[in-house]
Amino acid sequence: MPLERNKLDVEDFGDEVVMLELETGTYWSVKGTLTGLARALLASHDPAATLAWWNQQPETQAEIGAEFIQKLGEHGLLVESGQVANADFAEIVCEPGAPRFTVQDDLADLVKLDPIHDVGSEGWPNKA
Amino acid sequence: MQTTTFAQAETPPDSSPTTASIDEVHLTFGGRDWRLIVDKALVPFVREILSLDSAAIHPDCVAPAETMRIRLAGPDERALWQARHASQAGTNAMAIVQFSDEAHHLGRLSSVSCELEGPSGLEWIWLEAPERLLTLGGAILLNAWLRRWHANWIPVHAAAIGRDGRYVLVPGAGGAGKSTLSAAALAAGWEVMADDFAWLLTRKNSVTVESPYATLRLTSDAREQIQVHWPEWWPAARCDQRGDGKWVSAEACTHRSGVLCGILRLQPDTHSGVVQALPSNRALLPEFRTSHFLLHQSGADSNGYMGALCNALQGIPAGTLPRGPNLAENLANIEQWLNQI
Repeated sequence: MPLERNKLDVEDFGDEVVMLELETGTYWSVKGTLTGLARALLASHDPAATLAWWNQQPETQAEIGAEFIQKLGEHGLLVESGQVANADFAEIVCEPGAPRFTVQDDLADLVKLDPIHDVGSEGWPNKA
Repeated sequence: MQTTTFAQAETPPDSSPTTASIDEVHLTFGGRDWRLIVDKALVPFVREILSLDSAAIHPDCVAPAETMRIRLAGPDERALWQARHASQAGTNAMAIVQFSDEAHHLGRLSSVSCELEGPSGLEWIWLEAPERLLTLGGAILLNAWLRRWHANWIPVHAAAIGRDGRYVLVPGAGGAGKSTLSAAALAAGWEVMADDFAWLLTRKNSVTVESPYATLRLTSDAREQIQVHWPEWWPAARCDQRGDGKWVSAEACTHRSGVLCGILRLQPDTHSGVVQALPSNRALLPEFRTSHFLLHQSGADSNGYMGALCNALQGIPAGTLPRGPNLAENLANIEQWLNQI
């Protein structure tokens, strides 16, 4: 079940991986060692294998890694049928620091409105 | 939609050389009378796409309230819109229609805009007040986002206010307080460029900020807040109340372009406070998530937006303003910060 990469815009700033869900506008910020987990998933590694690998790295916290993957699943970002990369994590880097992530999904109501098709006579974001 | 007539018109002074031969189209839609200035070669397509029937002349359309010029577009945008159209077959037929003329000029026409590719390259219809368009106002705004992005501008969902040509960018989603702050700034004699949308362009040693239109929007609550401090203030430009209760002043903003000197996040608080400097402007990245999303919605490939934004804003001081209910104090704190940076 690799990550649905085509549903995301991703920017890797080194110490932070930032992702924007293109369908909902949900904003993800991933920091510390959790960057390694995010990078592995973005490289199409299998979540279970990735988590097993990541838990062996320094400064990781198993519950945060599991929560991150669970949250990705809840957001429909893990795809059943996708092809996974082989389990070689040699090039995946975990940045130092406590693993943490934030998800900001407060745009949900706003972005449900398609700015082209659903707007009212006064334009986006006023609904028709 | 009702129709009107096509009549010969003089070429407008700023018209493209490729539109030397033009027609004027009068029509009524969205409850308003429109005057379209159209390249002659396009008239058949305009007729077809807007369902104009030359036999049906609208007798009341003698003094059109709005003017729209039909101009040139470019192949990059055309390709993107074609791809988007293909992937959503049929869903945007009313909003965007692709067509070509006998000379194989390709173009697109939406309910609010029309462009063609021509020898002189890209042109863009700039509207002072897109929300005055009574149909699909969002389409034209998104068109602008896509076009600016492809011309190396960075579109942002943000207000821009300033002093002496030095502007502060205030990003944020709806309800963050951008329009209220902009109106307060206008009331206090500041320069106001944008209350909701702006574009950024990195130049050699500075970042230029520019606004797409001069409109200012204000809720009734915000109007009351402003009148606490500036009882006599009201935009000099025409101001109408819309169906949703918001006041819209069509040409309220005072400036169109300036130099970006700072970025501020508004932090709702019980009291206004001095601006807290942020060590890195990357901390403000989440404030631009609506910007990023809108760019994606425009049909552009938005991957790379956040990196481009961070690069553009590198070195520009960033801070958080504890935004209290006292608008005058908020402005004073911003001015103090502007003087320091």
